[in-house]
Amino acid sequence: MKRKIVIFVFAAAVTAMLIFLSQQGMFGQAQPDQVIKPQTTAGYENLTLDPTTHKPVPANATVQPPPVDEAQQLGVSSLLNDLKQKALTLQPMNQPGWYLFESEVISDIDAPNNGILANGAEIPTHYTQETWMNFDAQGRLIQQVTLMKTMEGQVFQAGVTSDGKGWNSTTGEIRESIEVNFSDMLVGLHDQVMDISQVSPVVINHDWLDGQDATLFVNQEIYQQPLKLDVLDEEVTQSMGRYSFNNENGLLVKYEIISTLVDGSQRTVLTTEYSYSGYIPEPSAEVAAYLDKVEGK
Amino acid sequence: MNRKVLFQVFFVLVLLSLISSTALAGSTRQQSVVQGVTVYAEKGLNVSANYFSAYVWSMALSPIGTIGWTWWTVREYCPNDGSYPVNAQFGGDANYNDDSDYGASNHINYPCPGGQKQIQNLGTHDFKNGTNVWRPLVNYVEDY
Repeated sequence: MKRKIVIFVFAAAVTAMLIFLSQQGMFGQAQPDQVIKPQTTAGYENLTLDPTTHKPVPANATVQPPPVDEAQQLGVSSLLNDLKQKALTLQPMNQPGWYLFESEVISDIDAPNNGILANGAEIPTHYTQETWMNFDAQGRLIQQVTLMKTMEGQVFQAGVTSDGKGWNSTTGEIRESIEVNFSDMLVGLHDQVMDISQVSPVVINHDWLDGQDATLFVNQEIYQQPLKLDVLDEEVTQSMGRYSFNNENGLLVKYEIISTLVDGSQRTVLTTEYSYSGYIPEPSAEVAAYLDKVEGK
Repeated sequence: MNRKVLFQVFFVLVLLSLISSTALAGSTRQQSVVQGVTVYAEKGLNVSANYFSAYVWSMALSPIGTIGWTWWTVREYCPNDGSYPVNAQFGGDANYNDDSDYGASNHINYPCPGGQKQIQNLGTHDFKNGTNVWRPLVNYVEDY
């Protein structure tokens, strides 16, 4: 009995030590021989200094670690699993071929765009995304074309996968493609919410979205000091991620990030709305043209 | 409870503690000596549910002629569809007769189709002291 207690106490002590060391950032890298006081580059005033290592860390590393309620987390997991099962059961992949996933992205930010791509094209603050995917009978991805379009319908970025190669129109890079399954596309974001609920409290609400019965999962982050985003003029003190799932078909329909600014006002910095069109007998001519382009490379 | 079970519980606890505390942040560092001065080139990421931060840090153990980076790119990549929903490119930056140059860049965490995501922090650092030059390409990439 005594021996068991000793082993348990030893195990607990080692575990606590490992947690402490890993949180202090002491794994994985050598520290400099002496402490160096960093200087802030003009325009990047948002750094903080880690009190232990005297190393600068970006402000969002200082997210206050909120307690995760185990019972609540269990409720989130169970509900997400139900939605996931519903999505997979009600939208099965009946036959091999092309399936279309679409989204519309709106960013309410102060910057004129979401960045400049490698070829000089802007990522606009409002755009649509079509992801055309060709799956085999086992639900494995064979080909894929993603078209990100301005609201005027101009393609500003395309991603194409064919013959195990992935190509991006803005970088010209050709990479080896990764394995993607039909179910990943249908319920991958359910798993993402599940992952978030492991590290940050997620609350569940009931919602109505355009007359649809929906379940809303909300996570909140509070920053220990205001966070300066590159795309916003004002600093952010808190943020909220809102995931809305359709209760009828189990699919994610909307994702939003709402930021609370230093003056207390709130701003929906990101809104993404999803739609799933299911099986499409033939890809569009535009998609076929992009596939031809990559197959010749 | 026997000893074997206790050890299994302990092993799981250790694994969980490491996964939960290191999965969302990390960095990489290279080291060299430029005309007698030890220098470090570091890039790192901190990723939370709604935002992500990237930083670049060039540092030296004592002031050197030029310290900084020649280019720096922070981007989010969606492996399932090969797209970049976030792409921030920064020009070079340098401090002179100094021991450190640091930059941080904070972004909205965009969702990727199918949920798989990669954050890339890329670029070449710049160290010059007297006639010695070191310009390492230091990339830090995190999948989640």
